[in-house]
Formats: sequence, C-alpha cells, structure tokens
Amino acid sequence: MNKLHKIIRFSLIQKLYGLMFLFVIYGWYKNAYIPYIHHFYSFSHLLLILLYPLSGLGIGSLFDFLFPNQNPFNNKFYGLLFSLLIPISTNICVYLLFITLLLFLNTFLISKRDWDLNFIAVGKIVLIFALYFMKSYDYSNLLEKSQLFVYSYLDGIFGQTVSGIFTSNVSLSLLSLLLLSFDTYYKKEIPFYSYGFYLLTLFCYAFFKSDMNFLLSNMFSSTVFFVLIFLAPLSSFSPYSKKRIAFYSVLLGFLILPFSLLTNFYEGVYFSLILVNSLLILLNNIQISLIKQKI
Amino acid sequence: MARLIKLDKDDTIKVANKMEEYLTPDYIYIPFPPKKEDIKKEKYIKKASLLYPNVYAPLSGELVKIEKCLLPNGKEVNCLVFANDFQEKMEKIVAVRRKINNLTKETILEDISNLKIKEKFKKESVKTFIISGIDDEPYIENEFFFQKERIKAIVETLDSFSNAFPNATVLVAIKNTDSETILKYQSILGMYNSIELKLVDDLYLIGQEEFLIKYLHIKEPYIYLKSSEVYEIYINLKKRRPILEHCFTISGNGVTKPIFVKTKLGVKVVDILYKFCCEDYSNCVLYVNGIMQGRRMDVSRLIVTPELQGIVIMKKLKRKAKKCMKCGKCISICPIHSNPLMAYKLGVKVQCIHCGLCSYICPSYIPLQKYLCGDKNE
Repeated sequence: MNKLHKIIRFSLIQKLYGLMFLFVIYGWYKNAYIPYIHHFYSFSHLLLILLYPLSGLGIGSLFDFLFPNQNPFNNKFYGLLFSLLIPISTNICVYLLFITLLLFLNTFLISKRDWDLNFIAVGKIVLIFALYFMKSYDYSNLLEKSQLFVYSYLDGIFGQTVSGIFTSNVSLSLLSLLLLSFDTYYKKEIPFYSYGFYLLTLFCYAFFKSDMNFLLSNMFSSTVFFVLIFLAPLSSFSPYSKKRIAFYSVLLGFLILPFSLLTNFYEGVYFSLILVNSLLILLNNIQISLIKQKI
Repeated sequence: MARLIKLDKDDTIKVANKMEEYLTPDYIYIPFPPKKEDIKKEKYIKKASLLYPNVYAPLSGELVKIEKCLLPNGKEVNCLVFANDFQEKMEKIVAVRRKINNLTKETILEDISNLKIKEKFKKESVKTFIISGIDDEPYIENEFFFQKERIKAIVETLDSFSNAFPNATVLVAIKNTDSETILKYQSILGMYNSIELKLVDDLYLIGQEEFLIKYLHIKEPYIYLKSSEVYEIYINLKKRRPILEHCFTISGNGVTKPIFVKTKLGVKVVDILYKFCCEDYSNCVLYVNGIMQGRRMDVSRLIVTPELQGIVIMKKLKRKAKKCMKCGKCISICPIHSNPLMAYKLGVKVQCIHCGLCSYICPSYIPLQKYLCGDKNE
C-alpha cells in the first residue's frame, strides 16, 4: 500500500534495539568502566563484559540465518534481550551454553508450535537456579561488593544500583517508556497498569508494616522497571485484546510484591510474569477449544 | 461512535483535475439479466432503449457475440457484445426537459421509480436529507468531481427535494479540506435557504452512511444520498431519460496522468486504459474500487458498471507478509469492534464491513481483509 504504511516506517523493533543498545553502553560504564578505573577489574574485563550482548546477538543471528522464520521478533532480538538480564556473576561459558540451548528451544519448539510462553523469563529463572546451585549467584560487581562507595537515592535512580548486568538504569527505563509510548504498536497499557498496581501493593504493605524505607527503596526497582517496560509488553508473549491486556497487567502488577517477598526483588517480577503468562495461555487455549467446538 | 482515523496518504499521488470523455467505444458489453426470459431476441438495439428491467442500451448497434467478462465485484458473467454503429439512433423519448423546483413528492417518486435508490425514498416522515460529497477511498475522487462539475444540477435537485418535502432540511456534507467545493457552495447557497453545508473532518469512512449519521448527530428519520446519486436523480427528473454514462477515477503512482473519465456503461476498462494511459503495467498492481475496500484484479476482462468507482494503479512493492506478531492493532482499529485475528487464525467468520483498516494497520503486512472476505487463497 505504498506510503499508506508510513506510520510504521521506524518500527518498534528498531526502537527497542536502539534503546537496548543504550542500556548496554550504560551497563558497560557501570559494571566495567567505573570498577576498572578504581582498579577492581583488569583491562580485559572491559572487553569481556561486552561479550555477553555480542554473543547473544551473534548466536541469535546464526539461528536466524540457519533457520529463517517470518517472525519480526527473531532470535537475534531475544538473544540480546536475554543478555541484558543476567547477573554479572554468570560465567561466560555457562551463559553461552545456556543461550544456545534457549534459542534452540525457541527455534524448534516454542515458535514452531506458536506457544505464547515467555521463554526469556523462564530462561532467566532457570539460569538463576543453575547459578544458585553452582554457588555463583550474585548481582553485584566487585566495586559494589567492596561497599567502598555510598550512593545516594538519586544515584540509584540514575543507575548506580544492583540489578541485571545491563538493566540498572531506572531513568533510562523511564525514558524508554516515554519514547515507546508514542509507538502505535507498543502495548503501553501494560507497563502503566502493572506499575500502578505494583505501587499500590507496595504502598499498602509499607503502610501496614509502617516501613516507609521499604517503600522508597523498592519503588524505583530497576529490575521491575526493565521487565515491565521491555519484557512484559512484548507482543509475542502478551495478550492483544483490551480486556485481556487489563487483566494481564493488573494481575502482573499485583503479584510482583508477593513474589518478591517470597524470593527477592531481583526475581519476583519474573515469577509473577511467568505465572500471569501461563494463566493467559491456559485461558486462550480454553477459548480456542470452545470456539472450535462451536464450529 | 467508533474512533475513525485519518489515513496516511501519499501526497505525491495526484488525482485528475479535469474530466475526460470516452463516449464512442467500438464495442459495449451488457451482462446477461438475472432472469433468462428477459433476454431480448432483437439483434439491433437503439440508444436508450430498454434492454432488461433497469438496463438501457448506451448506444446503437448490432449484437455480434457473447463473451465472458468480469464485474467490479470479481464475478464472471456472460455478456452480450454489441458493435457500435456510431449512428446514435435514439429510442423515441416523449418527455422533454422541465423545471424541477416545483415538483411534488409523488412526481419525484414516480420519476425515480426505475432507479435502485427509490427504496430510500420509501421512508415516512423524512426530516433530513443528507447528501455526501465525501470520497473515503484514497486516490479516488468521484464524489469530489460530481460536486465540482455538477454543483448546479445537484443544488437544483436538492432545492426540488426541499420543496417537495417541506418539513425536511437538506444537509450537504463535504470534507473541510475540499476548499474548492466549499468556495463553490458558499457562492451558490445564498439563493437556497433550505440547503445547509456541513463540513466534516478528513477521516476514513466518514463518508459511509452509518458513520456520517453518527458524526452529524442525526436522530430523526433521514434519507442518505451520495452526490452521484443526486445527479442520477437530476437526470431522471430534469432530462427524463436514463443514465447511459458512468464516471470513475483512474489514479495511483503507477500512472503518469491520472484521469476522471466519463464513459458509456458496458465499456471494457482496458480500452479506456489504452486510450488515456498507454503505459506498461507489468510492474504495477491494479486495484478495482480502491486500495482499501477494493480488490486486486486482472482488468483485461473488466467492464464498466455503475458499481465501478475507480481503478488505482500502484507500483509493485517487494513486501512479504510476515508472521503475526500479535500486536492486536487490527482489533483496536476495527470500526465495528470485530476480531480479524479470529478469522486469520481460526478461520471463524466475523462481522466485517470490508473497510480494509486491519490490513492497512498490520505491521506484518498480513492481508487480513482477504481472510475476512473468505478468499485467503486468492
């Protein structure tokens, strides 16, 4: 339809790639450059840390090249996205093995059967379990572990906080949300509703416990922000009708705090996401079988 | 009211600014009537003679053969092919031109009894006449041309309506971007107090009856007519003869000279293309009746019927449909709140007005409209 499609010239995926690239730059600055200039890491770490996103991109591209598919959200995209979420303590060999396995499963099982399973969140949780049993589960870099520097609350919002390797910048997440909200194809309702309900539960809990410090420290959780802005609204794993989007986002926001209290604030949001995602797949399957019965 | 959107059009695609005529074709193709007993046995026809109910001969000539042709809706029909003798021998028409501003309601109804739109006039206690001069389809400007070229005839007809239906008001709806038409109306409407001009936003589907009524907040009984239909009524009332010609647009980025053409009914479209737009269309896609609501068709056997609105010729694009990314935009944009994904994924029949907005908005370029029409294998 020629220029009738002008509104999607600059696609959502291109925007997501651009924003993830900014996160990589900031993650490199926080987790490699700053510790390096304070002599916590050697020079090789400056390059090693970039291997995570680059290998995610590379392995994803290889899968896309060998097994091409028509899905605009391809393995290259998922490879990069997954590499941003992992803890800094992840061994590069374990990571490479893991991401290859994950993308293999996506290529031959998940995308072929048209499952809506959020395999990035599932993969992240499985990796965390693996790291936990390998006793190398840690989100802090050496500088953060040393506790030599005391950061203010505002520093935390601007990225100096413990989180996934490239996801620590809350202000960048908010900027991304602002930019993505203007995209026709971005499901902006999901981060807004979810965060609203997450905040509500947080307020209620802090009020009940009379612990305002808890509220302030978790209000701007970088992991929650990143997952709600980048992972939860991904078209492939989220519902598309208005009612289901509302249900998905409200339940997601509502469950973040209980799961975070049960586990911790780095993984609670993933558990919540997996549960809501599974629930919707179940609902969808029930609806489809009902429609097929009618036909 | 459904949230209507403004389409993102290609401003470089121009439409014609004057009317071309193609009134002397070598052959005309008249589709067979629905009932076999209506087929006439005479081999020679005179211009304006009644062939079957509501079908008149556009020219005089002799029957030469029977050929299979295509209608704008894609159906294949047998057609009687008449060779033009260029004599223009007319069937005797007793009636002469007359003034129409003092006609009664009964006279109007009697005179338009042979038109399809007579059904619209059967409504009782009509309070409003809504005349749409709006073209919804991008790059097709038929109604615009009728407003531009036939404004006096249209206004004269509307004046006769307001006299014949004294309690009714006449509203003429045109887009607020049609500055030329607005100026023409402003200069002419001073003499006609009963006719009111309504400017509407440039939104897709606003010209359709259902959406225009809601946009104008019309609640009392009304009659909705397009400018082209008003002109048809004018010919019947004033000249008292059937319409033998038809006008349509040929445009798109595949033609260097877009045209608005007036031609005889039953002419082959390809003859008009050869005469006015002698170009190579091998790298183009031809859409009959527009790129949004129309369909891709091979026009080599297509004939001109009153349903033909236009041919949009667009350059081919190397764009393949991708897998659905489940963005849900097709659902949220649907003006009647249908779920096109149900038709695409499960093959379920869903309600559809064939507006084409789902295909337009789809970021994966899936031709959802085809699935909704049930011709996904086309």
